[in-house]
Amino acid sequence: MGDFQTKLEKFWRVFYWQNGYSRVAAGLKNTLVIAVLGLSIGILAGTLIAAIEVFPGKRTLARALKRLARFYVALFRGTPIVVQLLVTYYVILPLMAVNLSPISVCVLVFGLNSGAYVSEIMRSGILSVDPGQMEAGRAVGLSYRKTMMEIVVPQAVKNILPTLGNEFIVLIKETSVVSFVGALDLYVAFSYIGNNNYEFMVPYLVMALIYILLVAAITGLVQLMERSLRKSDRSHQTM
Amino acid sequence: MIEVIKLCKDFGDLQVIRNVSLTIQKGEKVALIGPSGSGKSTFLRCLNLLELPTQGSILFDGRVITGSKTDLNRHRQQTGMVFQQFNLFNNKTVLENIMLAPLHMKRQTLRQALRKKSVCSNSNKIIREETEFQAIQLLRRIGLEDKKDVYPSTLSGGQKQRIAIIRALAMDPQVMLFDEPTSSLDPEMVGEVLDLIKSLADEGMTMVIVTHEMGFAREVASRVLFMDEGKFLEQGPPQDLFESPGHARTREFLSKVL
Repeated sequence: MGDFQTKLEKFWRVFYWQNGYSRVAAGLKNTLVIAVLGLSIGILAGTLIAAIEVFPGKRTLARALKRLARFYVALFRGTPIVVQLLVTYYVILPLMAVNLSPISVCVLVFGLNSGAYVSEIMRSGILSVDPGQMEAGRAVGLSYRKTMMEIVVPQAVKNILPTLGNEFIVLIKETSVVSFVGALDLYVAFSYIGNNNYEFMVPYLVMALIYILLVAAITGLVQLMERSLRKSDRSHQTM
Repeated sequence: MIEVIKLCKDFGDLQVIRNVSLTIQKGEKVALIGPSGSGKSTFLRCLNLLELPTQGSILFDGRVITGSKTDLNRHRQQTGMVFQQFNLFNNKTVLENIMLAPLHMKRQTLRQALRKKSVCSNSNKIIREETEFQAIQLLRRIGLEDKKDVYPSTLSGGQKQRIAIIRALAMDPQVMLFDEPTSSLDPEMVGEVLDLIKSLADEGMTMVIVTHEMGFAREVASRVLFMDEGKFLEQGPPQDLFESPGHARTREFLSKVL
């Protein structure tokens, strides 16, 4: 145990006395920023894609949009996120002569990636709402869009909230690859501390603990939101 | 008021409505009876264009509503619809259920008026209060004013259906369409819903009812239509159709359900 004591002291020296914590804080901030903004973009893009996919219209425009949506989902679900990051950062952006910071690229790619997954979640959520709800909305003279926004989507979101929470957790964990394009995250911060004195045991252990705490906090938050959204259900009712 | 001319509706290869014509006068109470799968519900759903006819046309107050230029939403605002499964909005309270559509419609009208600058800007609040007042009046009529802030999942089937009926009434429709309004109710709740429909009939509301309640059809309807395999085989005043059906299929059906 004496050995561990030394490791702990080494870690503390870099973490506390040599300002390691400021890097950890910056990494934590980046992780959260990428995950939160990524999920926000993902929810917007995913809802849009899902709306296109469930729209009953059969006109040329609707068909073209549906094909585009399917292509988008296939593209982002069919490649690893690391590949998407690398291709965006080192291929697409330079070809377009656009200069973006690593963090912005990460937010963009994580958002688009999560949009593909959220669209599938959202689509199944919308399909899980009783079709009678849409019919009733149309029957009182509300438009398709108004009924969708007021009646169907709110019920769909309630049904899929646990799955969306899960998507957020996945995003948090996946941010650990952003160092591939040079963004600072928890992994980079703790590697720096480890590299400082060639002692990696404690830094990576603490990093793991931070991820676990982060995920636990999000799980609690999702449960809280679920409970407040369940107010329109009878407590003993399952649906 | 409603004129249906040579209406056909196919679902793929399946012909559900086969070349049906019908005229409904203002104030008439028409009951549609017939075996299940005969096309009654589909016919009813064509009347407010929840199903778009494959062929034929429908006139409402002399205007063709089956053309491509019809404002579907505007037409549906004038035709109240009551479903077998109630279909109250699960994410809205009872009061919100009733107010949602009328409030939306009035606000749209207001926005158009505002563009012409013919109304003052606090009208939005007035509209809300007026709509809420009307909704409460309707709830009072069915004795459920105390339920205004609860969600549908806490209500009984009979309560849900009565609220679904006044939700349709809140739009002040010209005609009410009922699609088997009592078929998914527990027997002890059928009476309260039928009483409400009957009181609407007594007030002179034009209505079309798809029903399996023969006693109710006989009591309330001014005309009964027997539908089989997508066609109206027989129609007439209830006493004629129930006492002396002219068609063999009608006799067979009535002998099974009466």
